[in-house]
Amino acid sequence: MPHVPTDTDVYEVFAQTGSGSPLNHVGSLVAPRRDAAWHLAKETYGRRDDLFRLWVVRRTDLIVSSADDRGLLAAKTRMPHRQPGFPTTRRRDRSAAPDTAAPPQQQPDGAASGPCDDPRGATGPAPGRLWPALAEDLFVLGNRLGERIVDYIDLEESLAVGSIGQEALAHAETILTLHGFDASAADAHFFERPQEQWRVSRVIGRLGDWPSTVVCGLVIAAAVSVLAEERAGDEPAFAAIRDEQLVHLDHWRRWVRALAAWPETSEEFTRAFTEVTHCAGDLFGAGPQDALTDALHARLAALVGDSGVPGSRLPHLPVPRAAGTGGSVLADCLARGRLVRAHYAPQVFL
Amino acid sequence: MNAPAAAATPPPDPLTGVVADVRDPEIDVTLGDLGVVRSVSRTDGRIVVRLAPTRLSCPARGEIARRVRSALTDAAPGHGIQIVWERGIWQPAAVTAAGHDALRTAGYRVAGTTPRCPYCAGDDVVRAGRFGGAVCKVPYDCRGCGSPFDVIGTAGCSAVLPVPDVRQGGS
Amino acid sequence: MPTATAAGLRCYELWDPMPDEVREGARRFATVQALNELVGVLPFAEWLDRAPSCTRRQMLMAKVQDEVGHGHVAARVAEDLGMPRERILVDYLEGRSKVHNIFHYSFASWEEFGPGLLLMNSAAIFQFRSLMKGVYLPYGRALRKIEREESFHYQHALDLTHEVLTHGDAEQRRRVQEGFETWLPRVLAYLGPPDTETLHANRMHQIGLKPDGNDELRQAWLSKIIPVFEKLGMHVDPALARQLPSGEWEFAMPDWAEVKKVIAGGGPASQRRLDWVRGALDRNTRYRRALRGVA
Repeated sequence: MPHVPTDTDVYEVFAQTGSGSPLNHVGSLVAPRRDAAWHLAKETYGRRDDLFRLWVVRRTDLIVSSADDRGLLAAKTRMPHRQPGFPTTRRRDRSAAPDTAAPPQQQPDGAASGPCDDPRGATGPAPGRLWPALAEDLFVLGNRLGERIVDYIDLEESLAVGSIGQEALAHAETILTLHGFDASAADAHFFERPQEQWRVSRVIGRLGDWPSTVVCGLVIAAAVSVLAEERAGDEPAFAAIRDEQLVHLDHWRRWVRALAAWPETSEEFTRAFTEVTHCAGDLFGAGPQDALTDALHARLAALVGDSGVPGSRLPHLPVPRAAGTGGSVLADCLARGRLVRAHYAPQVFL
Repeated sequence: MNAPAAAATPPPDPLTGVVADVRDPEIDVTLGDLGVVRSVSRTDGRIVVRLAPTRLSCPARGEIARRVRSALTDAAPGHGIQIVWERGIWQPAAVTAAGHDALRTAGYRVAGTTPRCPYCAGDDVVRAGRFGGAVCKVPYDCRGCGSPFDVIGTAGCSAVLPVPDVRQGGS
Repeated sequence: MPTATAAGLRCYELWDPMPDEVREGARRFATVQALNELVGVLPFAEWLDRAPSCTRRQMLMAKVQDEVGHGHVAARVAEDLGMPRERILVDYLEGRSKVHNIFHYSFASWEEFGPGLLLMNSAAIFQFRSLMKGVYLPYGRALRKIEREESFHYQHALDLTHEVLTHGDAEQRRRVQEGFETWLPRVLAYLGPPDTETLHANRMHQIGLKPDGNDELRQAWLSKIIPVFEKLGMHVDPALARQLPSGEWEFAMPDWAEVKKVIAGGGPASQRRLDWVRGALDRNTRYRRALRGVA
């Protein structure tokens, strides 16, 4: 018997590239609203070829086969590239791995889960999947740092965390923009998605005391600058993100060295450094793991190792991200962020 | 530049001047002199304005866009207006000579040159930290006349300024 | 050649020999400003995590950052005149210095935030425009820049208030109106007790550090800000403020005894501000030492 997927934010995209070609399913995406889904589909699938026709339909409006109907429409429920929270597959990449090529690997119980839960089995280009995850980390980090402006460690540090926090927020938003989000879709992405759909790094849950915040800042700045380097040559905005994050990285390194060397703080710092670096293995763990993510991870490890203090427990290889991380840090960030917003109609705020 | 190439370049749209004359909301300088205006063009009754923010996180983007729209609506009513932010391409070198003057009068210097006090022109200046009150600014103090001022620049602009920050807060 | 103010008073640069009372007066003005920037930003910082969109949040964060930046500037000016910056917050905690009445309150809602910010910000701009004419030139230059940056936040406050008035429901618009009526008397009081009769005897006025009187500033500010709220479509109760045919403003006189009590620590958020600053210094002192010790 057919069942209807419950995730109302997932849209399926169909495209026809010429009047003679068939209308094909080209991917799925997650968007907060219909107009955002349309915008995103155009951005994601319409860039490479001139599209003759584009259809975007909410998945819950589809009648989709259940496990009992396997063999009829198996490819449609599989969609291994899909991932909560973000569009990941561009047209050019799909041509290398057409839908029909993947063997069915449906779980025995078709109702167990909609999206594929095995990131190692997911397809799609790694950077395209890594960016949205890092944008989530940057958003939460930016908010936390903003609150630190008035923590008055000293005046210069207030201005540092404020600048780094503002830039973290702006980078998060810029990343979404570069992935086709307009401003209101970006707001919906950060302010309206339920926590289960977030896939922040495990380091986000550690954003508490100052030494842990410093180490979180360090590993996130290192990861973002490493990934931005990949695209810095062809997109000035990524080059700017890289440059700005390198300034942040330098700032956090100064702190790391200071806290490690100062007798009064070295013990709590060492503990924070150990714990946060141990959590940082998933910074590049949002997508399939391949030679590229391993190489990015190695560069991250080199940057963290280069901070001049021993004791990093960063895993040797990327660790997959999991849903449901972030703990009370993420929960508070999301809950507080909705307090005003919930009382107004969508798209009211600049 | 040879003549044919110059002839092939269309003259800038007259509306470019309208946009260039819009004043920055935070500092008393025009967008044109600040080097923020990239281009203004008209297609099918629509005006497309390309602007380069000094930083990705420039908080004045909203207000700048509002002012640009308002100025264009006054100068050329009835057109659709699209504002495109070209991120990551602004450079200190884009500030015009008039921009340098206006910024100096307002208490700012531009990154990329050895900083001098905008008020007394002295070079006995110290950096007062790596980050300023806004993301585009680095704070300095003039030891000659005692005036605080800011250097406007891009990410890592402190790296191009060979000035040690001998002034650290506290003791 | 020494420069002079409009009143014909001599002006001073950092290294000029200057009378002790000018040096001390300028140090006190800059110190008071630094403290009020640092503590005065707390009511706004409390709303950072509730700012309802990416743009609003970035703008609010930029505002909070900028105010602290102004505190940094004022602290540097004060430091040059002999006030160690570390003492600014410590003196506040130990009761040797006070913050303005308006910072002893919190915002009750996002709807109140807009008009409150608009009133406070515009009044501060008038203060800065006046003080920047003072005889200690480095401080005057710093204030001129700060005043210009405040004008940017003024636009932000105006836009934010307009947004809520335009898109809010009747209840939300009512809260904007109430916010205006709540904050107007507080900001009238912030500009200081009446001094038309006594200004000439005020030593800070005589030596050129306080160029204008409180009443003068209050009148100029009302002329500017009341039409702004009227243009936003809000009702200005004549009992709160009304302009006489002469152009002069009549306003509900603040209860100065109450204002004094609030400044002394009797405001609804007075303790909250002190607790925050004390907590921040307590939990961070060792980190500050670490940075200083190694750097």
